[in-house]
Amino acid sequence: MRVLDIKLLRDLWRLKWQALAISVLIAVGVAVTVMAYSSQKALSTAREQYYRETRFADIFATLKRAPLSLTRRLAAINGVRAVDPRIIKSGLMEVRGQVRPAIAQIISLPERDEEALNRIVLMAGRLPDARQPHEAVALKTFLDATGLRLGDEVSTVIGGRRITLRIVGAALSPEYIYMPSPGSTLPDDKHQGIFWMTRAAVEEAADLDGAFNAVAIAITPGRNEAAIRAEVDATLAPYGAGVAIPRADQASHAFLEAEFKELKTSGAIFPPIFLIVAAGLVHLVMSRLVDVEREQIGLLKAFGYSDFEAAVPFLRLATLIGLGGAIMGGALGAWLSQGITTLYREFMRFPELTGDFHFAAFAISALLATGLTAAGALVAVRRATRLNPAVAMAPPRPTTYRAGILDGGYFDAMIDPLSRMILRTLFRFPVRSFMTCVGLAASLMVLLATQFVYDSFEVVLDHSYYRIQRWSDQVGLAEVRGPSAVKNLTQLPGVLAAEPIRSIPVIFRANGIEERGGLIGLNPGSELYRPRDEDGQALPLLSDGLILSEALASKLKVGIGDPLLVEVTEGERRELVLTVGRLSHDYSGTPAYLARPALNRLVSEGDVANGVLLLVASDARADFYHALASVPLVAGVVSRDDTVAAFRDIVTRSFSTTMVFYLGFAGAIAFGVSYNASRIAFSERVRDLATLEVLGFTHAETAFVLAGEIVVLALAAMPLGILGGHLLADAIVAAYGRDEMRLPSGISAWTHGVSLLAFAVAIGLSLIIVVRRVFDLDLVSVLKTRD
Amino acid sequence: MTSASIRRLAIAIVLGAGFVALLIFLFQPDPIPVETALVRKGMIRQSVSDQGIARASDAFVVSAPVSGRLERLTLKPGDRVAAGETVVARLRPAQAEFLDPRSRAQAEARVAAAEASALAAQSEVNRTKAELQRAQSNYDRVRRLADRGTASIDALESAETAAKVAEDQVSAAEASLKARIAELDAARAALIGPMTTTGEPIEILAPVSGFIRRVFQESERVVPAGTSLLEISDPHAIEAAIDFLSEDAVLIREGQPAEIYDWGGPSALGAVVRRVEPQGFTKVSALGVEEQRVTVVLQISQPRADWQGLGPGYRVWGRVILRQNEDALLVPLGSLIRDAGGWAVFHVVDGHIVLTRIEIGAVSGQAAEILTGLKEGDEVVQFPSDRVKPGVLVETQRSEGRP
Repeated sequence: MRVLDIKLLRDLWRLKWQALAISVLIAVGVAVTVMAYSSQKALSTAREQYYRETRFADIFATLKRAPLSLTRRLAAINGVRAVDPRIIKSGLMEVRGQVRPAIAQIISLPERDEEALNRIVLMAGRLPDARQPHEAVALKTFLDATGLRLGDEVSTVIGGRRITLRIVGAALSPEYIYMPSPGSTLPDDKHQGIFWMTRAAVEEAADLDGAFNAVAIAITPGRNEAAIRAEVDATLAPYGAGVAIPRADQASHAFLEAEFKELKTSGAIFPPIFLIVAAGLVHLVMSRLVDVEREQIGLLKAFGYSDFEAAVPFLRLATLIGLGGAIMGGALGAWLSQGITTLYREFMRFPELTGDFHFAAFAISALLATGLTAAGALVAVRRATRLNPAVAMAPPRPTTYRAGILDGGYFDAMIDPLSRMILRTLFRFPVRSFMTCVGLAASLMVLLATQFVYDSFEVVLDHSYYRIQRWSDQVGLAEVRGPSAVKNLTQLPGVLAAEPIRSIPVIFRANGIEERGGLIGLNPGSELYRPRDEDGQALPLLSDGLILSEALASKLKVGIGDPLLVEVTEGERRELVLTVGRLSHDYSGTPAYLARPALNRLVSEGDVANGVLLLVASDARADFYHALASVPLVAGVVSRDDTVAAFRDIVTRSFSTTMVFYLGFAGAIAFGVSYNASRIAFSERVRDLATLEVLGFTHAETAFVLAGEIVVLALAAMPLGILGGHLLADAIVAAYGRDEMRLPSGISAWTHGVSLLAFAVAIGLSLIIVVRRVFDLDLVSVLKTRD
Repeated sequence: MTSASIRRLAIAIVLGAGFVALLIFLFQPDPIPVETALVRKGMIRQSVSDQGIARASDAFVVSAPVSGRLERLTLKPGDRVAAGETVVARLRPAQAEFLDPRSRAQAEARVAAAEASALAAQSEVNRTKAELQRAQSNYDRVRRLADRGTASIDALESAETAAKVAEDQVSAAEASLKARIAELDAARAALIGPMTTTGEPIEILAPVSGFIRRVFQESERVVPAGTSLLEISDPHAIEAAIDFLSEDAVLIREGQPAEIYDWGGPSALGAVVRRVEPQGFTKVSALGVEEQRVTVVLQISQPRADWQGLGPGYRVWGRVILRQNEDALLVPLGSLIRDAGGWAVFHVVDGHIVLTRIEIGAVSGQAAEILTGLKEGDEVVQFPSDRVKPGVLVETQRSEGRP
């Protein structure tokens, strides 16, 4: 078989560009698969290991104050494996070099480490010394972001007192793998500081000697978690506890879970699409390629090789191309997965997050792609080997020429012969034309669907932060206060307007479905926070109507006029029955709004608020924050401008990397499809084209016949691709919808423009390459008949 | 070239041009949707406001003039009283104190001593009386003798003197006895415990006409002198005492118009600043910050019928109007932005944004008065997003809000 091997290598070289185009298609499919599954595996492994090592708890509860002796009762609950009582207190902390004060949370370290849950992982420095009262271990990301170092001192106002801390260590914690900042889903490292101090120090700072105000509980696996939680609630209720939350609702974990779910969805949607598209195209292209080579197959058979022996080289060729593409794809996928892991490392604070390679995903996708490539080759080879060698070596018999749709007299007059040739070829092979058209449309679809996300972001940002919420800063109070508190804040420098807001954590129940959320009480006629309906009109806050977010209403399966059970999970636990008044349209969270006086009445309180919405002059913000940091009862501040800027920053950064990637992918698909289609068409009909030239047509006219086919298909693919892109965008919106962010599915004109331009460029490039061949046609050698 | 090839070329050019035109169209920048408002004329008020309390302007507190037992007050808050006529309270003398065992023993011992002294004094009286009798009879005898010339004049005088002395001694002893008896009474009085005494009550009359506002001591009890008993005031004389921040109080002058709002009634009440107290005081705010405040007294200028339900001790909010302009150019607060240390707005001109510097005058909670830079009917962007910059194309949506 040595001769055939050499032939194989020569063929490979001859078909290098087509082979490359096919390999690239395969590589794309394999890369996406490998990337999705490898990132998933890396994250999942890191998380499990982290949780195990740090003994991440299963149930979390916060309360006002309980004696440490209560721990025994909690530990005695059936199914509880470990109980870790701690003290958590927060306040504002001014950081040198930062305008807005950070929110500092101080957590007590347990006295004995063996019992500890949610253990911190020390990355630098040491744990605080019990003999030194003000030593603290800080969250590493806070230190990195603010530039603070070990040995620095910071001060914070907690519970009305100013406390100075000295940082002696940097650590990471499983409770803060991902920390969404208040007011947005992105973390804000510079303004979220977590500090762990010895129990004695925190007891003193929080005035909770011998007591605790938060607890983490680990349960034995396999027990009924909800039942245990209910018992914990019952035990802690007299101590001012809210409702205990399971691990699934813990902020960091919930976000990680959502990311995983998204990765899984990505892994389930994108790789199959890419693989199928790639494999389908490859199959098509391969079979056409081999069809062109049937002369050679006939020749081989004539020389005496058996069917099998003649077929094997082509199979090998196909397999080589397939394997080459798969290996390229594997490498590309691994590299991309590393990139994604690096991106994740920025947001998710694992002590260790190493890239991983999902071998199974690689193997399966490589096998699939190679298999389909080989199958495509096989189909064509069988078609060729079935023929008699003599027949095979002769030029293919012209297909049946009957009068088709286009052969009526009317058309004959309208369209010149060359154009008729194009149309006839397209209509003679409808399936093939359709598949090519679909392939081109697929690339356009991918271009549109991957870019629309950025358009959506803009709509979401604009809607959420400038239309619904129009405040520039929101201040949270540690406890509810009356209207004079709002007045106090108005008197801070730079404040133009202030409105009170009251929010209560609740559980919504309807139709047997339960959802945790918050009830937000706004002033009727509020200018700074206006829920809107789907037409963008502001919804009035009436004293009896509950305004429910559409997303929440659909989760609970309620509509306007339906009753809803609302359980208040703080203070006196009340159950209220409210009627859904209007539905609001928003893209993030699942808020529910009520007029603030009505909300206060429902929980039997006077005119109180636990937050204030503010309009602050932009150049007075530094003074405002500085004054705010000294107000004891302020628990936190959110700045709209900073949140939007952070979003924009992320979007811009990820845009530039992912856009190159997606444009490359889609461009590769478009180029691959059109190049292969036209190249193979060229090979198939090289005789016809040469004949045309012999008949007297110019190079340009001959090129027109060849290129025109692709151009017509591309034009037809444009509306198809645009439609498909919109549908795919809708599908992506539906698949990726989650509580924190739902994307609207509009695609901007700009995105259409960019996509069409990339599409046109890819196709144009491929046509230029093929058309050059027409111009270099050697008529004599092409038309030579083999005797 | 054949007509067919010309046609082909033409079609190709048309298609190409069409594609390019499509791209150009698609690459046109999208107008940014913004919410706008019009600059309108209206009223604006610059004011300072804060929380306060309603209180009676002149309250008269009636107190006990002496210590005594106060009889149960029958008058209740809301009762009408007339000056100098209505008896508002009655005081009776108080009862004596209890004696503890030691004091009792001491008092009883004193009584015994006084009794003994009285007895001794009585004996002394008897003795002196006896002495007097003897001296008298002696004098009689000597006088008879002196009449016959038997006794000397000297003897007669001695006897007379002795009789006189004896008489005086009797008087002295009797006086001493009286003193001792009085002492005995005093010692016995020390043994008096609490028992009902009679005595005339004194009546306290109302010092002024009005209504009873508060009753401090309702039940019967013994009160020391000076105890506040009840408060009388004129129900029409209610003022609002608002605690303003000292920085705000600097701007407030007597006579400025004001209003009382959030008092529970249907609408705000017109008022006038009556007094700005000269001395400030320290107060810790609701958020825990120490502040210096000044009490400003507002007098409600509307008839009582409008605010019948408001009483002393009720929470009110007071707003002092520093400046009012009926016909000011107004722009909503949400459209103000800062630019290079001054105020500006994003003005929409022909669908494009122009950054216009403005000067503002009075600022209320919803709008600002424009002094220069804009005119009536100009359209400005409300709550601009960060994509709104000078020169961008915008698509306006008029908001239904009002400045």
